[in-house]
Amino acid sequence: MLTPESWIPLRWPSAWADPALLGLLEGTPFNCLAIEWNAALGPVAAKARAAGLSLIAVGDDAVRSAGAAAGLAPVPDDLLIASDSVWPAIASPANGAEPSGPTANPWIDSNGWLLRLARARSPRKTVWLTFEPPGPPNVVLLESYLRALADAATWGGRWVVAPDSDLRGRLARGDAKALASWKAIGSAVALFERRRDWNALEPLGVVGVVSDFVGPNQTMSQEILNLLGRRNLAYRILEAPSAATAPLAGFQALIYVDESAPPPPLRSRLLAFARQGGLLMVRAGWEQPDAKPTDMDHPRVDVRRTGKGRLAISKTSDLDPFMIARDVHMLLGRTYDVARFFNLSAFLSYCAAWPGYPLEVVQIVSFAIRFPNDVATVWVPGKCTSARLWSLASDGPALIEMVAENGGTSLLLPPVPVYAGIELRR
Amino acid sequence: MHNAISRREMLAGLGASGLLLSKAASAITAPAPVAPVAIARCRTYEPSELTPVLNGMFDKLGGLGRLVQGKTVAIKLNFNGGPTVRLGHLPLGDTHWPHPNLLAAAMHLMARAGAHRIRLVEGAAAPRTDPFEEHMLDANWDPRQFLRAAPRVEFENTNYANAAKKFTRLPVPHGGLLFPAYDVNRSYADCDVFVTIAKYKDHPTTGVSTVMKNLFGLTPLTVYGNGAGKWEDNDLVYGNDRIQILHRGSRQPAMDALPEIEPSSPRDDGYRVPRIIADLTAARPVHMAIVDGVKTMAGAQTPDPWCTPVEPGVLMAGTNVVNTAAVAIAAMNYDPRAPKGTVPFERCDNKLLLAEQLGVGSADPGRIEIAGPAIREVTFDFRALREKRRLLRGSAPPARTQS
Repeated sequence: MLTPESWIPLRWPSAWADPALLGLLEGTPFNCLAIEWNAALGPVAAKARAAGLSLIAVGDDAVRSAGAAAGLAPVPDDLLIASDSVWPAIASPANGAEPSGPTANPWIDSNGWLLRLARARSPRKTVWLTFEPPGPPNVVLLESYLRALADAATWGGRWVVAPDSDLRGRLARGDAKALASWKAIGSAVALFERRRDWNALEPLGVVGVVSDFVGPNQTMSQEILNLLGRRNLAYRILEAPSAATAPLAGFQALIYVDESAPPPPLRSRLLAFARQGGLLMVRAGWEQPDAKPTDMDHPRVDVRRTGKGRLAISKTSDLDPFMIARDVHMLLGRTYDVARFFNLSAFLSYCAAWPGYPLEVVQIVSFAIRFPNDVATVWVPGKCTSARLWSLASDGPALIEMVAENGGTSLLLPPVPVYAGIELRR
Repeated sequence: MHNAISRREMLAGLGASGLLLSKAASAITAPAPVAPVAIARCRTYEPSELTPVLNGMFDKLGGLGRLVQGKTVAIKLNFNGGPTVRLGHLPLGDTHWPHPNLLAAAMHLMARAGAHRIRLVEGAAAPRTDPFEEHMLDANWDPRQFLRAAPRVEFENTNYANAAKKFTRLPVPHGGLLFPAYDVNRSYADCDVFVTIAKYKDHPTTGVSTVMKNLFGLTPLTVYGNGAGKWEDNDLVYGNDRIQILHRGSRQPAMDALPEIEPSSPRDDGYRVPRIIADLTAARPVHMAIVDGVKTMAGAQTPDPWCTPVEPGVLMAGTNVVNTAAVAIAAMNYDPRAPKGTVPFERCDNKLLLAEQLGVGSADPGRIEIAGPAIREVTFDFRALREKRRLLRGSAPPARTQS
């Protein structure tokens, strides 16, 4: 019996009542069907079960109950389904979002921060994302499916692959182009499954976000994660209750903007971090009489010196997570960048390392609309002995040419239309 | 290389091309100044080659000491385009930004010659609260390289007024061609010595981009940029170009800067941008212009699929910015006196001739003393590459060259 960790899920379309359509799974890695039960699916379920596929009941309570009655497995405790995930893409005005930010960078909808948070809070659980492609009149390109897969896999989740109505229809009819797209989707799923061991890596990042991430702090703290990620500023998550004792090695800055003051042990820990040379960003009203003013003229934060470090106290109680992410990046500076990226106009990145081994991974999900055909460069500090590229263009890794630059290593990549996974050996 | 032409002939040509100036500017009758331009071969950016070559060039111009000793020097960089956009895999210093080693070498020599303070200035498209050094880090430059190059180094993002709290108005002598004055960061006004350093390369609007075109970036984005006046706290730069106000003239500058002289003048950027550049060369005199031609690119100002990285292996420097630009353009196998409609000024007025008429400097290489190898000896044929691109256009852009 497969466990959730090894389930590779496909959302079985409710209209696919013909068991012959299970033939579409041949040659793909899908081994688990997420089914919104209806009685017409009985023959499909029977054949799938006979083929060794795992069948999971999804949908609302009534549908799941009906599915369970028909023999589908319920969602187990060690599987976390994030139903509020989003279709990863450049946000368009059509969905009510701004098309670009103040610095003309496009807004990106991604599930990266959600997966980071889910895995930080439930490290032993498998996380599924159940977003669906945009409906008509949108045309969902193959590239968009691949991006959706990459956006989930990069941060350790699995998208429950859900073809849109157009692809479903064309697949059911045996349309050749649809079958080619389906094959490419299957290949991409297989690639990410081969790199599933990267989930054991620990995130790199010099900025820590300290919060309980719930209640009145939920929106602010989660949006900070989202916006730090959008700046490609590598961060790590520190849950407030345990942050008082968590190791803070490697952090250069901590953000604590929860509405209530931290419990005394946590406050002491945060202040000790700042006094030892770190940057601590906090809400307005943080009392710290011994912190000395600096001459920094900043419109939003009062920067004070405390010990060897700095305390950045918001000047207003009306916090803007965009500005918090931007200001912490500015106050910290780019000196501590874990990677720098060139010719990637709209992208997200995730840098992680094997604990105790000289091995790092830099993953890039590109949403580019400006330079999709440009060769890209990723610079990392320090030396590398080898670098390999995993991309959707081939089944296996390719060696990456490296050039010494500015005290680090520039990795010369081909164009990254959707995804690049770079394996670095130090 | 260039067509020798008398001032009378030139003025006749200008009349035909619509280049004639306002009454005030055309009242200048003295010949435009000339000063020597030093040229030297330099094949690499290795400091061991670069520093002595550059030092020799400065010596041929009379030495740096007389220029910088005890002075505050402002060096206008030429950070065009975004810091994370490269031509292929090439670092920006190999293609369209002046190379950091060249900048550091120049700073080192200036410090050695007694410069009191060196201020690196540029209108970087970064928020006011971001230190300018961060913009360099974004491009993978190390600001510490410049801090080590001289004892007193400052960085100033001139898109903002910063510590001065307000911009400084630079009036254009004789009234100006497009604007009567330009509001700029005070660093451009209160320096004793002003230096422009830039690659030489092609430019889509003004034909060629060199040490003169670099001055276009004196104009702060918060006053002349697309988002000028649209941000209350003046903390964010909206957009990173000057298309609306300066190129197209679709509205006037923000923050109480003076409007243009003649709002009914052409809204064509081929008319406007050369005049703005000429105005700025007159309003902010340049004391030293350094052309980085060791490595550069042909085809555009910022990377695009039509650009080609090239390695002419040459440096040029002069104390007159128009003279230096004229020599550089001649060394690209272009005619620095070419009228509008001809290579390389196919769709724009010739900014060098405009600056010449403002009395800034001669655009006639035949009048300019060259210290070092002759122009023809260091000429790199940008014109041939331009023709090649012209023939290729109509087909798909070529794949990016990889290093």
